[in-house]
Amino acid sequence: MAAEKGDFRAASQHNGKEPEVSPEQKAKWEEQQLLLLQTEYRMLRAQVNPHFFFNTLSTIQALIPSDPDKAVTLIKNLASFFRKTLNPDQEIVTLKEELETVRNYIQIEKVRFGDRINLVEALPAELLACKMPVFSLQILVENAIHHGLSLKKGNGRIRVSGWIEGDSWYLNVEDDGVGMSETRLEEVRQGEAVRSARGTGIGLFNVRRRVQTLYGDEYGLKIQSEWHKGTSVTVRFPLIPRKCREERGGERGGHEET
Amino acid sequence: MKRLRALIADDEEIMGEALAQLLRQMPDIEVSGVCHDGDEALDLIGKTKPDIAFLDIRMPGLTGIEVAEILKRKEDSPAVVFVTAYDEFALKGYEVDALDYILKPFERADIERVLRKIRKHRLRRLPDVPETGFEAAPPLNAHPEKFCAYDGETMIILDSQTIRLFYAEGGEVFLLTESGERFMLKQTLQEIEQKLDDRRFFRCHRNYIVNMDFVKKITPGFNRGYLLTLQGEKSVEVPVSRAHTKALEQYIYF
Repeated sequence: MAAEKGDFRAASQHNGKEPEVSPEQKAKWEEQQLLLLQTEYRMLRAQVNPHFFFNTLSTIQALIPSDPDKAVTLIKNLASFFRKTLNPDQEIVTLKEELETVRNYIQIEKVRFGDRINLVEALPAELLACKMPVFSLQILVENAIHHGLSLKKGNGRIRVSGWIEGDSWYLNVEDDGVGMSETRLEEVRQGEAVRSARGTGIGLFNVRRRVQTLYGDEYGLKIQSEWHKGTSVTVRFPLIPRKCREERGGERGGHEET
Repeated sequence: MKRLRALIADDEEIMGEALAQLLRQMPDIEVSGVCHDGDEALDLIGKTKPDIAFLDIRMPGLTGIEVAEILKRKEDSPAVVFVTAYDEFALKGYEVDALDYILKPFERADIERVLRKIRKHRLRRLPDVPETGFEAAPPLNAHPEKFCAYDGETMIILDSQTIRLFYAEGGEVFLLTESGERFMLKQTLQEIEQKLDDRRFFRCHRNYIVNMDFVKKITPGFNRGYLLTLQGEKSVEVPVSRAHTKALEQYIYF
């Protein structure tokens, strides 16, 4: 899997050479980095897609006269989605918990898009207890709908699969939407590696940044896409997360006052 | 009043139907079709010639903006109203003549607002023959020869032949005269454009309307557009954006 590993690391921001600094300076710099990461982490976690929000509101409004029961269900689903996403009580969740958020989200989107969106889960039971940063899967599924299926004519499919290999586990989200041209894919890969001003690849940047902050630079994601065929994103996580990192991640979540 | 025929394009069936319902409740509107992607919208517009097209922006196939850009280059295209959940094209600075746009979720009042605007615009543009009922008053003085500009409290009356240029800058609209004087106006460029005689005045850019009588030189400009040089007290250069280059051929035989 050496080549694979290389790919997953490719997005990390190390440029090779590091400038010479004194140990004190280095310690201070690392502390600042950590603070910065914590702040950034909170901000990343709180991102809500405005398209999704306003579109769902207008769908609800449109349903009120024609199908009030459906409107009520949709409001309930939206509320439970926002209850989870606006103030999550954990930074790290199990795949099972993350799947619940995703199913909730798909229920909402299916009201808007009907059969144009179909979720297929192909996840072995032993993966369900695996841990991951909250909303990692959610963001990938949102991307698959927003950039893939919602622009496709006819019905589409999102397939979520996962597997174990060595001391890592992998999560894959694949859609048969419109896909990306090579240029676009390159832009997204760039945006995923370094936060871009235009916001291209911001969701992927979000996922990779959190995975690498928590587990190290050898983890992260890999994007493949073909125009008119679809897009596939694979995330690599450690099976047994490094303890100190996980505790650090755990500490940050949970008891925030808002 | 003539009934306006409206086409709706929205990839979400529920939304398309909701807008159709609202429009059907209005006495002077007829829904000529509802479709669900951009390609279909363009096709139906060509076939059914509606007066208004309500276009969602994010759709499979052509986006609403792409449809509008194609329509702009065609004769007797419908008035375009974008229907969007999120201020997408404002963010991207698209150069499209949308008469207006409606933000989702919308209500009846939003639709009425754009319809009023479209009626006003159409009344000025084409002397429609009223089908039934009371007659619409013929547009009086469609192209006034005099323009009123403001110099503080004083209103200055200018002959349109002496005006070289109308332009928008920092949210304000100005005109520039032959002798290089600059005055602020109270109207929007869009409103001025409607009043101007388009045999002489040319909307060459989102921010400029030029008097073609003053154009003496054309040079290739940025992004496959042109630069017009206007003669006068001091010559002025004005860009023609790519979207408007085709229309330039109506004024100049190349």
